[in-house]
Amino acid sequence: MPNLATLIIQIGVVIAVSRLVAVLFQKMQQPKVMGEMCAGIMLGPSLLGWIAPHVSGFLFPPASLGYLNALSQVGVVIYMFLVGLALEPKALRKHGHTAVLTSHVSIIAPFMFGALLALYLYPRLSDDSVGFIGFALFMGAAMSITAFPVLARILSDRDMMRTRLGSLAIACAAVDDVTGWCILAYIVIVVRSYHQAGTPLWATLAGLGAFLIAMFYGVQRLLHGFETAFKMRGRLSENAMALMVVVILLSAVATERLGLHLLFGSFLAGVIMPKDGKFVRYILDKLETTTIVVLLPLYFAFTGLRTSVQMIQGGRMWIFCGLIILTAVTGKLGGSMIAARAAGASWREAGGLGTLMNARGLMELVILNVGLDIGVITPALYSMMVVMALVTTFMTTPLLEWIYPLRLIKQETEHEIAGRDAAEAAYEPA
Amino acid sequence: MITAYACLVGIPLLGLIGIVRAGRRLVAPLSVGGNWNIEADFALWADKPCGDLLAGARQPALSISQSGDRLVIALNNRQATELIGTIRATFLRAGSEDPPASGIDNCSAAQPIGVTATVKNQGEQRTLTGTLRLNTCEACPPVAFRAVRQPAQKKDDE
Repeated sequence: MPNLATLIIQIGVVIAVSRLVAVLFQKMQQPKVMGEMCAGIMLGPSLLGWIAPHVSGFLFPPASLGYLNALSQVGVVIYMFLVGLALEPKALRKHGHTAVLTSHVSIIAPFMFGALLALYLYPRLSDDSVGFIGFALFMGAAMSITAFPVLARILSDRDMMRTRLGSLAIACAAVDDVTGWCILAYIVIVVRSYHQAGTPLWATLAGLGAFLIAMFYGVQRLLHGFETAFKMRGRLSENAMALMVVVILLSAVATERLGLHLLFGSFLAGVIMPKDGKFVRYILDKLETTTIVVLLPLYFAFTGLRTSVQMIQGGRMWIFCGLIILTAVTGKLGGSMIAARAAGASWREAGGLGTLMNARGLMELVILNVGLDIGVITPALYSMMVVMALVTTFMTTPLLEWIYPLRLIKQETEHEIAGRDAAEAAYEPA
Repeated sequence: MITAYACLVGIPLLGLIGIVRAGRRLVAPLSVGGNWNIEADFALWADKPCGDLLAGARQPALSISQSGDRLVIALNNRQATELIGTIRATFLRAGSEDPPASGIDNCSAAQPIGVTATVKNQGEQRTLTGTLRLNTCEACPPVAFRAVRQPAQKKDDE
């Protein structure tokens, strides 16, 4: 049995610290989630464990971390469902060629740069328990991920959702996320088959095929039933909500048992949900608050407890860390910017898009935790990648303000609205 | 648009294929990370001044955290001694970074400890064969040991 008092103290401390740091970050014009991520790191060995090891030992004794981890995993399972739920594949069609080219390049360019960096890092930061292909693919995937929810938050905070740049960024990030998770699923299969451990490869592939068929042809119909019920009554009963959560959890367990990871199942459950705007908003309202306020900070804290900046010791290790950040920014920001420019966007718009796509946020932490769990990255490399995630997310808002200032966005939005009004008036029947 | 797509997507894809092919030749350091059970004649130190160092040691006596060729080795003794080391090919060397504690007996647990070992593969199992010594203490002879790595714990069992 867990020591309940310890667990409750941990939850209280984590929530309080994460809210406090989130408010401080908001004052620095940063998204709240950035502060929550930093709060998690601060509670780990990088800060609290370093300056007050006794307090850290009292708050987070190693024996208690299993329970904290379990709670945080439940949180991130539901959160991944919400991320999948918020994805809107139709958004991509609206922007046509620009979105297709930009989203594909914003995946392949950082992926290639990540794999290139793996050539240098594999003999220096990995070991022979991981094959080069698994390592390189993971580095590529970790470099190419975009924080869809953080990006949506930044756009909404800056009132950019209705601008061309904002909707283009959302469309590209949605494609990036789905592609990133498909690539990660493949990597998990490659790495686990390299270890020849757990579920055999044939069983994973056959099971995955059967699972996808069941999800798209069976479970999706059930989920449409929820939407129909919502449209009839304007709300969902408690039983229906409970059943939906059970579907999410079962889907997560299925992918875990197939030798993938819990998160793939919950993300897929979100992706196949009906996308009616009001219905999606209703589900988000029901599940978002508890997940974001209570459970996600626990996930950040657990990530922080696994991250030790002290592992990046000595000039050589910091050079590796610098190289990782440089590669991540060059591949993602540079790749997206050049692609958007090639597709006809202005340099300012292309730069803004590249900056937005470069935010990795929570999605990066999720992918890194999966990598550490399956043993494809070492603890020191994990810590370096966490630093990269923080730096690339932190730089988004100031860089965006520099490239695409708020006053310019306001001007453009006003022009756009005026243009739309004029067009509507011209077409009005006499 | 087609030309842009071919250049911006096709070239990186070809590059990726080249990288994967080039990387197949790379060799990473041997994996020694994990928990190790030690077999050694610690009785050699039992009645010596340094006996305290291993008196409270429990299995798995070594816990190794590895990042490439860099190692952090934690001894599962009362003092939770931490050693920093490297692995080059099959040879492992580690020691405590602290300078010798002055004013304390040269054979106390606060003195620098060193480990040298060779990694071997015995079937599926990886083993370490080497010696553990107190660098400043002549009274305590190096202790030879053999360590066997525990199988990695499955996530479900944690």
